[in-house]
Amino acid sequence: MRKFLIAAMLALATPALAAEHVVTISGSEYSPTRITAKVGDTVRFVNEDAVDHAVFIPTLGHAIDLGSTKSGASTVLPLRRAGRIEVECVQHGHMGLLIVVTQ
Amino acid sequence: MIRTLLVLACTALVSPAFAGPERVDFPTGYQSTFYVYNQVERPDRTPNQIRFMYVNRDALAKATGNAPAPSGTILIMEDRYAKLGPDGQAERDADGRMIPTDRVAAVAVMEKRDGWGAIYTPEKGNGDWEYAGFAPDGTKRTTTDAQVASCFSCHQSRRQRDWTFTFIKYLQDVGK
Repeated sequence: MRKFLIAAMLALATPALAAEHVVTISGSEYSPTRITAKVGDTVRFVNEDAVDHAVFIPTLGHAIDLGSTKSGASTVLPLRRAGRIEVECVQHGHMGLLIVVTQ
Repeated sequence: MIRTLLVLACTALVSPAFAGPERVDFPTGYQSTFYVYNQVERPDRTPNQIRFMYVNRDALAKATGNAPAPSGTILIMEDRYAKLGPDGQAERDADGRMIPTDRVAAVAVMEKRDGWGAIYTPEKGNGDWEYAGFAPDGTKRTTTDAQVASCFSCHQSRRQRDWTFTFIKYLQDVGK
């Protein structure tokens, strides 16, 4: 019983770990094209294409340009605020990803 | 009559045919007269920068998100340095956004006037938009077409938003 109580207290005291969501870029498309995440999580974009891509977010209050991600490289987007974030690619206007971030 | 015609002809001969970045002037006083419609963080820059996106208010009043920007639209992309902490990383506000300083690194301007795109092929042109780059004091850094070629090629990917990365998107997002 005591062990159970200690385990329960530890579980309550341990903060939820931030998650890393992986998005692949292949064939000039994001996969997946929709993510649900929490504030504090990160999104890792892995460029599996032979050409460069650039993660770009025009959404008000979240706007950011992560610059060029070379072929075979990856880049990380920290999710600092809740909201609906629309991700695009600078070079390829058709590429799209929606990230829904909650508290 | 003949004198008038001669004067007009001479004027036409000596007036330079402006094209490319020569058409775009530095919008003096823009920080106090234009509207900041978005701020884009650049964490990939060392030191970190924040792009302030401005539009002239006359154009903003006329523009909508479901039509090309009106003739006379001037968009400014002002790169400002972010405020850095002791660790060299950008300081952030309560919302997690980078805090800007007043120090400007560079200013890029895109301006649209009816007919300006007529000199370009459809493959190269960006509608009626022209581009120019400036130092913070207003000195023009781009004086040749070659120096703004990357502006034209990069903005080609946003043909469906009137060749703008943020402005038409902003109008759509705010329901204008």
